[in-house]
Amino acid sequence: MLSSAYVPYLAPEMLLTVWAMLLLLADAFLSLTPRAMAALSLAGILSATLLTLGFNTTPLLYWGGLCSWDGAAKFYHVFFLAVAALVTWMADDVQKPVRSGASEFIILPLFTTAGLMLLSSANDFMLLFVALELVTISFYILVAYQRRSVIALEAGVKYLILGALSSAFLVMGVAYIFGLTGTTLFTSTTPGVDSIANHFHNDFPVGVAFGLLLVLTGIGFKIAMVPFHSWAPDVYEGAPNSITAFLSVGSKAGGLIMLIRVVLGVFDHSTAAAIWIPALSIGAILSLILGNLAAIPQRNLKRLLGYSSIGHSGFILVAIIAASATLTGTAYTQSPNDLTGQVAVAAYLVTYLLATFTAFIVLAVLERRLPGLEIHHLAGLSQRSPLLAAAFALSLISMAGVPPMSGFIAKFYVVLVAWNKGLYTLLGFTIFAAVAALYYYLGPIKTMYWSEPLDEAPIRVERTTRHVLVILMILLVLTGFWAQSISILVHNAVIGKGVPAASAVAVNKEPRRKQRGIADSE
Amino acid sequence: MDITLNHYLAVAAVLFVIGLMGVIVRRNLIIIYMSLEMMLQAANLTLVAFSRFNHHIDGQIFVFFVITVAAAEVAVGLALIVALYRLRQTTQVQDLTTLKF
Repeated sequence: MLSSAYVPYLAPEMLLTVWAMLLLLADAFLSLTPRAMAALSLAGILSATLLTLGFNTTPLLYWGGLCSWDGAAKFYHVFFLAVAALVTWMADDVQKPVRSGASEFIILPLFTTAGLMLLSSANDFMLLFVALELVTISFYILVAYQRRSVIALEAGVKYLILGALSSAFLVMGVAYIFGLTGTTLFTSTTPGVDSIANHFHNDFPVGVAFGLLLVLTGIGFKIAMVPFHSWAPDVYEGAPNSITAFLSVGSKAGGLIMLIRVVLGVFDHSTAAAIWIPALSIGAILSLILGNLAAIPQRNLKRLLGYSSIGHSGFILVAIIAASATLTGTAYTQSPNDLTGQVAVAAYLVTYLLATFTAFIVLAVLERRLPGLEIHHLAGLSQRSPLLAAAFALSLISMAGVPPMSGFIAKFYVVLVAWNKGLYTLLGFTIFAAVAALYYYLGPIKTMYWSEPLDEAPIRVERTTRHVLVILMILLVLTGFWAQSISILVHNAVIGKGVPAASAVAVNKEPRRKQRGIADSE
Repeated sequence: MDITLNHYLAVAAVLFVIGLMGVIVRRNLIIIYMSLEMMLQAANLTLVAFSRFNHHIDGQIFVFFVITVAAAEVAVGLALIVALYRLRQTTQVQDLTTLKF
């Protein structure tokens, strides 16, 4: 069963872990500067990316069915590698390592990324658990890395307790699902090998429902879904900026791909969907409301982004629910597979990545120049550094979902898939949350542009940082304007090519698409 | 009386709930951490019981993974708690109030 042809698909993860271990050794024996370490680390990430890009997207299971490979796996592999590259660059260049000789801060994200990549192709609860813990345990260290800082340690301990709690829920849930199926494999293509997906098409024992709910609880902690969100604002505030961005994009995307693999890959039939759709709907609604309303009174920018990330989880959960094949409705792209919800998730995550990293790079620069990261510290930033102010404003506008920014497209997609599937209650809450979000996203922008600066001294931004910020800003705007092509790109990446209906309308502009989306659903 | 699968499951469930209560009610980080380990062991017991009674070996293999991962988690976790103690001279949850809304 373990054919040698299956090894290459694991090569990116292997490369990253081996490279990270070599770097740890090199750190012990050679005296490399953090700068050199970051360059080596980026070289590893780049090689892994090139390896991943070389794979085709024919769906298959490898490693005896433990891992699966498909368009979504490839997409998320590249996504996580991009996140890792940004995090590594930020750690070294923008915020400077916490103290000299602290190269672990640059090396550990490689392990995290390998874990996230494994997560995105896991086809077995055992691998899923181990990959998830690889991610979580390395995050414990990264969050609390500034161990002379009370805030960082508190954040680390909070993340530790709630992370361990979520793992316990997850294992207990897996234990029940295993107990009633006798296997931990999600799906299987080998004849004679049992998998969870082969069970429960007609009946759904209460034990498995219990197990599934426990697993959802465990995953809910990872994606900061209300009511399992309480760690998010604290940890976001206490962690170093690059790690907050990593948590907010990488860890969340990891949890979401895990959720997609479990609920859409294994439990997407009517009996099971009767359990998880209501459960996730409640989680989505609560996240949308609480995440966006609790962000309003926040004064600390990192806490504000923490609450807003809870709200974003809510939006993405709506898309995941809409991706369920058990709901009937017209699919927007008329693709053979009913997977548009998954495309919405992927598109949302891409725009979220761009906006979040722009915001946190700005915050990382400001952290060393401003007395604090409260909203009032931003006063008059547009005069002190037009670039930083513009970048932060663009990222906030994009997160708020104002057209024509890329965030608007992401939210529009979510609304569209929810509408097509007839999820009107969820849709109502989504729109309400999007409007509420506008309010608190505009607050910092107002302070930056229309308040008198407390300190007139201009803030100098280093050259590389400037270039990265400009590129991210251009991408934020471009992905908004060329949404149709981007969506087809994401669609092809996640689902695979051969969707003529979508490609044929590639040149259509935004308003046309909107009309068509509504026309489809009528 | 024969010991059946349900007895094991009941013990595991009780352990799990005791652990969860410990996490929620207790105020000392070390005790909370012990309770968390108890929850993981409850899950392990469930896995082993299912594995033994249903004759599927996968569950016992899974337990080894869980034990290994839990050990790694404890190593990192205790290091964090020690670091916190050095800084604050306390391991009480109610003293962790720097990060508040």
